[in-house]
Amino acid sequence: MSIGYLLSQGFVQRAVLAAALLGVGCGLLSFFVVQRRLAFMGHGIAHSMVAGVGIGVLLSWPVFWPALAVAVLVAVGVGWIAKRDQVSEDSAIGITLSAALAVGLVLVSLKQGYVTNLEAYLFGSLVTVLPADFFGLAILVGVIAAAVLLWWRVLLLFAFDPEGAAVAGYPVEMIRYGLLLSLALTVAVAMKIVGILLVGAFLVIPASAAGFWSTRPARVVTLSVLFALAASLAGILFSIAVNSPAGASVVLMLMLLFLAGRILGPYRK
Amino acid sequence: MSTMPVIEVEHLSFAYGEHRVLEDVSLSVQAGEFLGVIGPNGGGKTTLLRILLGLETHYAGRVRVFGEEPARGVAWRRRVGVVPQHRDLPPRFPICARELAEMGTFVRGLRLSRTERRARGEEALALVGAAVYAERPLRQLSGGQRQRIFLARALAARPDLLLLDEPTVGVDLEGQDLLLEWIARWKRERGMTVILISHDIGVIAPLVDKLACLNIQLHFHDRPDRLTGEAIQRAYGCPAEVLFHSAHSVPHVVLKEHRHP
Repeated sequence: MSIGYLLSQGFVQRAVLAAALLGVGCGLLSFFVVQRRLAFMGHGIAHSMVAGVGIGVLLSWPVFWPALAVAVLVAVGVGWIAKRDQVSEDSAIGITLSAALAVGLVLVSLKQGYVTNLEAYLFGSLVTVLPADFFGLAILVGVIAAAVLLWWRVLLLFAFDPEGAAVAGYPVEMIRYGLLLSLALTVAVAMKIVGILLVGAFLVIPASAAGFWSTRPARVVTLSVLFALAASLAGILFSIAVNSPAGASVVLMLMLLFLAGRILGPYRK
Repeated sequence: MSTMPVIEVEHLSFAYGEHRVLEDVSLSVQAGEFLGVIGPNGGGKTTLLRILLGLETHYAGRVRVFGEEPARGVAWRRRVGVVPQHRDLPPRFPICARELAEMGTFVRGLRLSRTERRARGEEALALVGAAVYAERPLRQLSGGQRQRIFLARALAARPDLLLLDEPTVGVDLEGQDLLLEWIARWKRERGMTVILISHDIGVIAPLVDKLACLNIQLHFHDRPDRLTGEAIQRAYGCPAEVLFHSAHSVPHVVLKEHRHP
């Protein structure tokens, strides 16, 4: 099958557009993930979704909703535990991540004959992007983009100095949970395309790579979005051309951009 | 101008769980005053500041900043500039000095156009002599230069009250003198109220109107320039010694070698 033929197919077009949207959303979030040190949180939320997939598989529900519920629970729960108790945030994430993963794997094993299909969620797949997913993603990315544009100054201050933002009178707790919630939603939506194992990279690499090229926040965010968008499109096309997993192909492209920045960027040191 | 005190603290007590940090602290700062707060590490200096800024709310007693309860009030936030301990801020954040100074105008209810914000940021940079490196990225600035930019950020909203938490840490001696000279000048020329927290009394004693030693409880000293080792001993509970530099007669307090029983 030629690429031209594949690109004329509805499901491929949907996947390409979904990947592009996801690139924009992750590129925007990536700046805040990197600056607020939420990289591990992104991975934790993603891996925990296996528990949601397990619930969905066992009860023969669509896995998206339980996965989303787990993602939101983990994102908000970890932040809450780390704030209240004597557990550091990375330990709280580490514990939650493994526990949820274990629960998910056990649940899936209870359902006979399903093990192979788990791969679609772990590694992502183009064929699983449904029209409804696409619209959900479009709304989510639209909301994230609007929030960043509308509240840029407040979010910038929050990213740099959350306590300073609180003193300045901004609702820092709401911003923190809003960020975690967007993270959970994005990761849940990205699960189908990029896969649980690799979606974390999508939240860390774009802004990290952009940081090699500029020391201005607005430019770093813009570059981060452009990098994520370019890597998504290139990765998806690559995956169609050589029939490689979509998520892995996108992450490879992101890695190339990161390395290019590390070697050539003016702010690599 | 009303004669309402800028800061009123009455019978303030605070504890982290079982750990008592502040006990029955009372304090009043009038407009235009320069208050220095010294004390040992763990003596509650930063906690007091956090309460004044509305970041800690579970305290006993009465606290007012420009007549408002800090955690609830909004109007006071436009009148206060803060220089926090900058070790908590990400040193590699992608931002240049000018943008960072401009951030000082990001205060709820402070409505300014983009040009006005930029002008305020540049004005503040000029005040701290940092206009020359306005476009330089934060990560390329030295400790002293960074502290100037944080000071500029605190000044960008043109505050009536300036709060500084250990502003001279990580700044070389020459830079320290300059920083304090400016603060004293703004206080004089603009009638700015200043509260400066430091563990090093030598840094602030010659500049302040009032000096308080905070070690869970607060002790006032009417004549900061006469602060003696004995007074320090009462506040710190540790034997201290006041040294005088030959160049300028700024007393430098050093804790004597001692063991706690």
